Amino acid sequence: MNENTHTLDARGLSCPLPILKTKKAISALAAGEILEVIATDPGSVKDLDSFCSQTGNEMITSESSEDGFFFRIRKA
Amino acid sequence: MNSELDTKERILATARELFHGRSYADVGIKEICSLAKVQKGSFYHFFPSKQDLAMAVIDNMSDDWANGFVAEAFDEALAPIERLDYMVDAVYYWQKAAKSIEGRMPGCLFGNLALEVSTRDEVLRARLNAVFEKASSRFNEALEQAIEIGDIPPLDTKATATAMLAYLEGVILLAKTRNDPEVVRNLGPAIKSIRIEYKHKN
Repeated sequence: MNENTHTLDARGLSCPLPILKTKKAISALAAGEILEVIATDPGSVKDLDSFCSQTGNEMITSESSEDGFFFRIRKA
Repeated sequence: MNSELDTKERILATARELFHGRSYADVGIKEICSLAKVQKGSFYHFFPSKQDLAMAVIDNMSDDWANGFVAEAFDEALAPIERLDYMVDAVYYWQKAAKSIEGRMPGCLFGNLALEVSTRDEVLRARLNAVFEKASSRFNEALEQAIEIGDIPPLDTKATATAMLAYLEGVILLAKTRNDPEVVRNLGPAIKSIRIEYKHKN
């Protein structure tokens, strides 16, 4: 794993907790660093998408698997 | 024991959803029982009256929120005033998610119930008032800490906390009436600029 990549496990949490935790985790990062988020709440897909477009952070990956939803966000 | 707990939880969850999405008066025990798939007899075993159920719904939701997103927003690790932004975000994303499922923005459960029952049911009014007081005390704590560390000048923290809660509830009400959670996102952050000064005593 890249040393500039951080991970947030938001599995089992429902809206709005994954988004609040993501916002907190992102604010602790330096510009350009990556946050990986794993969540199980289906609402987190739309939430994190609109969070990124509103804050200017870049959604690099947004995918779903049987384990849940996986996101990679680059801090602006 | 577990199935007893499940039955009670099912009734609570169903009532919570119906009271929130529709109203208190409009939803009958019969409908709750049928959606929660429980017999009327077992409903009355847990909740002697509809008022008892409403009290349990209020307590259940306020506990859930206090331990969930309210705790996350009013996190001591955040700068005190920043906690207000997290609280507004929590409201915005929650209302937006609810709208995308139901098609209608449900508003605040406590605000909805307070408008509906305050003139009709003294017991429920008092319970809802206690929830608002508790919410207001979270704002108050954040304000006291912000003053202590010099982030904001001294002000009447109790009155300001109540005004902040009133503003947030008012914004949610307008957003609900427009059926548009963006109202919360656009107006919500101004909560940080609300100030009520101490009244001069002389």
